[in-house]
Amino acid sequence: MTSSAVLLQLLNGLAGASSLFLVAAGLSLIFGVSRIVNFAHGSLYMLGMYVAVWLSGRVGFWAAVPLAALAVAVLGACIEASLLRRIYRAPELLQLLATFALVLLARDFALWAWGPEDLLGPRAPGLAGAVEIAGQAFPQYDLLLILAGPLVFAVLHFVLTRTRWGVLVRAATQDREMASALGVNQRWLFTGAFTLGAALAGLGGALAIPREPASLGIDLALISDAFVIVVVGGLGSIPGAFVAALLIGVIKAFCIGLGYSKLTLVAEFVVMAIVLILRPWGLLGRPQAEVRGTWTEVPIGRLSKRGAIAIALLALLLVVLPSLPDQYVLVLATDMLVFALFAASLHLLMGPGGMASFGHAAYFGLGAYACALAALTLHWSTAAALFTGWGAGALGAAIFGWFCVRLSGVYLAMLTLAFAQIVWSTVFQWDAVTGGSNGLVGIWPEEWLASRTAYYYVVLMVCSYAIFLLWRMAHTPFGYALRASRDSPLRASALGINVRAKQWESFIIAGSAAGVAGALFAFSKGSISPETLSVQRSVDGLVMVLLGGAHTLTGPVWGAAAFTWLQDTMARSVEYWRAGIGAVILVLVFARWRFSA
Amino acid sequence: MAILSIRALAKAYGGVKALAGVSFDVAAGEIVALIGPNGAGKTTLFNVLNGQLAADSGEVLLEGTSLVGCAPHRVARLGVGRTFQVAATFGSMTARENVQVALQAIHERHYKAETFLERVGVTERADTPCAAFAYGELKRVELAMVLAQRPRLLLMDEPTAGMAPEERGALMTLAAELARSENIAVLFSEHDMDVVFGFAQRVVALHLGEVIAEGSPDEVRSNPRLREVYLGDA
Amino acid sequence: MATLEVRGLSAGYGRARVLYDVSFEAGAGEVIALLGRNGAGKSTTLKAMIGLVAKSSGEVRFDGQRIDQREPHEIARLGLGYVPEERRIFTDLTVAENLEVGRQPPRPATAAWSDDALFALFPALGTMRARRGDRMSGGEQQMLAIARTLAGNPKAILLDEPSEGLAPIVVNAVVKAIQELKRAGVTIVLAEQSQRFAERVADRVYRMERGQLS
Repeated sequence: MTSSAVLLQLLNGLAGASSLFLVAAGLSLIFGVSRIVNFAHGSLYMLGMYVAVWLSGRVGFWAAVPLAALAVAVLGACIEASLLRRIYRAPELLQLLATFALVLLARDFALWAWGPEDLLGPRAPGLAGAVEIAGQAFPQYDLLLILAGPLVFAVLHFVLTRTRWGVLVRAATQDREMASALGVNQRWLFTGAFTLGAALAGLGGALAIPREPASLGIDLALISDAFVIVVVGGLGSIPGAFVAALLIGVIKAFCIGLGYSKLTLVAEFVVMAIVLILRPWGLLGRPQAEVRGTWTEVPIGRLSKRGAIAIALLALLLVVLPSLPDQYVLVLATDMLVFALFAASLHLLMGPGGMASFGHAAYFGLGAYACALAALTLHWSTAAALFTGWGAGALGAAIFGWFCVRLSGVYLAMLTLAFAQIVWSTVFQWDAVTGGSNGLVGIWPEEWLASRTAYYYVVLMVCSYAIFLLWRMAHTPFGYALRASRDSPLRASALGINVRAKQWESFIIAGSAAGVAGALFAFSKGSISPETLSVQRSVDGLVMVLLGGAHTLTGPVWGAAAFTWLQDTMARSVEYWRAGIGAVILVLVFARWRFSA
Repeated sequence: MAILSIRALAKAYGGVKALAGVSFDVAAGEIVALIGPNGAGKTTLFNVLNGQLAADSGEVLLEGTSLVGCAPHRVARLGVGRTFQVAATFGSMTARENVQVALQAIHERHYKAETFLERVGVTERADTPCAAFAYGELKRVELAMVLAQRPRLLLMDEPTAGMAPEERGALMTLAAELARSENIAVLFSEHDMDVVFGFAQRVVALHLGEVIAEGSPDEVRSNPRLREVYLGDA
Repeated sequence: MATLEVRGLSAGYGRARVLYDVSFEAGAGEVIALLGRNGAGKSTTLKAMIGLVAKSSGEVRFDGQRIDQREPHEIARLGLGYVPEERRIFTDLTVAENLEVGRQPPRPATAAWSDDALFALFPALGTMRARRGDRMSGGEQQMLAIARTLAGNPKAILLDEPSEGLAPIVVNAVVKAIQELKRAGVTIVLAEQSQRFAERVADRVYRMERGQLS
């Protein structure tokens, strides 16, 4: 690569880093004062894009940019005052779920308001041309973007160091309790920080429209990038976000410039892994001192008599199900069983393990893709393909889990999500092997399992056996040691339990169970796409567990059945089913929090 | 013979010396109290002893085996039990299960959880979840768990903190009896001087990370330096 | 009427009970000390008064007004200042910024502390306004912690172990400051381990042991 090409890629990287920084800085700012990780921050960016495109048709681009940022800021203030304020003391998992519900609502709002097609933004008037840099053409507008990052950083720095409000924000970020004992009312700080953070996300989105079209999928793509940056830079540190955004932006640009655009994900992963090993709290972050109460510290009961009867009846019903006339029931029941296993495996991590995984779909998807590839490409037998899915889930969980168990709480949740997003992007981009966005088709089991009924029985047997094993694990020495590590890591290690090893093992077990579920899923559908392992799927799992109750072993299974049915019904009959599910999640979160508080 | 030997142990946070060359021994069956004003380095010393913190320099020997660089679970398996300032138990499990976890952690099959619950006197509530226990009982359950490890050395960080005045003597009497009958070396930190002078055979006083007095309770009680920085006229 | 009045206060952390039925009062401009060893419950008493620890029973009155149901920032804004154990200054912030966090509008009939007045009280701080908290010595941090609370122009302050871990010469400076505050009419409740220190500054001493006053 010539030096001028290097320079150009560097500039490209810096331009990309600016919008990443705007989003990550807002995320960090909000987390610093409120300790809430705002999943919906990417959605605020997306709304900023749509609003800016829409407004620039009316008032022109340059007026649309600040107005869009303002509109998103106002929205942010409303969200904080009406929703988040109520759950500041709730467990992190509930907070993350609540903000994810906002993602769903924002997505369907954009769909309703602007339709499913990507919206092309205008060129920036006055900066539509290109300048010549080192003999190559470089868009003028990108130069502006390059300046925007440091400029916003400087403004933020000024606000945080030179205004009373900024000083209070920094004080509260370091020691909230002390700040309040000095007379600082945190409520206003929270509202202010959330509003400013939302404004930054909206501004980032608005500034991006000359470069890329507004689209519905941008929310999750951006939030996982922002999570990577925040994990690398250190949660709560704005200089950290700046440094990490530059680092990742430049690395990405170089990978693309070198012609290895697919390497970007690997590069991102490697950077994150190195940082986490050397500095688990990020480049400029500090360890999280505060540990919030969890609501999982409740005994896991053994099966009651009533529960046993219910399960026996259910088993009987499941066995005779294929003799019913309506064959659609069988399709739905197969889905329910697969997701029951998926939810039960996630529950092992969340319940007894006390680790909230926001990327459990990764193992489900790895299982599905590995199984499909074994059957399609390698022409292995159905049984061998299912085993491959199992192995792939276990292997993925072993690799990702090794990093994850080094963190805890919200860091762990963000890391699991980032890993899942990396797997998703890999699958999405690796056309030659995974079929890219089209996915893989024609994944059918062997002749003797070809009938829906025969395959249903296989799913029934495998899933119920696997779920049974997961349940039984809670009362084995391993299950006890895992719960002990969750209840009190300090006490557990002082008794001689290797806490990290137990948690890692639980990751591997949960991952392999999810892999089996994914493999069964692939054969039951006949085709799979990147959708199989999207963030949405991970969150579905969380909602299933939450719906059924994380305190019980059987809860997640009932939750999975209910949620699968709900989603199936809604997706078939309601146009904006995502918003519907978002509303259900919000209601659940508030009901749970009110109930436990 | 010394179960625990600490030699020139040092640990600093930034520029602050939490431990500045601490050395002393604890013999089998001996009960030693560690006293000193807050910030003297007591909790740091405990955390170094059980592997939660790495010392900057110095040596810790358990019956001749070095504990330096061992993770907490390794230290525990080598025979060090610890109770915490705020009793740490597994809230989602019953008292019996708590002790079972301790037994399983060292792959102990011979002993039953009941044995240890009996010793600390919580047999009647063995099947109650720990979340429902009063704090004093919780302290006993914690002691039962630690005893189930059958440690050679027992570290107790402020064992009576947070307990009602009348419960304190009872807990310490129990701990002292158990230590004697099992020939365990006990090192405990404490601010309640009635507990210190009532139960310790030897007292080590720390101040600013250094041992400023060591000896029998009476010797230490009359040490002028210690009276100045800690005991006052009490 | 007493400026601060504590009646039958009990409190703890989770299920660990720390305070048992604590009652005492401090009159206007009076300096009183809670004397006891660590773990006796002095810090918890002060934290329960400022609202950082939830009480399980009892009441706290400030200027005759019940404050035990209020949030910490409301209590602070009524004019009750708190200087915590181990100082807890904002180490990421400079001296001037730390003072800014504590700043509140002056209130009638109470001494007002401008920056100049604070730097007159603690001359060392005046020379290091732009220094970050983590670059200060323990003694300087203690002075900053007191100055930061005074910046809120409090009518009364709760001082938790102001002499802890300080060199004798710094302790003298703290004693001087407390005497200065007393002269300015500030009511002070002090938690202390050192009898000598307590006797040097306090008008009255309450002894505290095992969560109870004796």
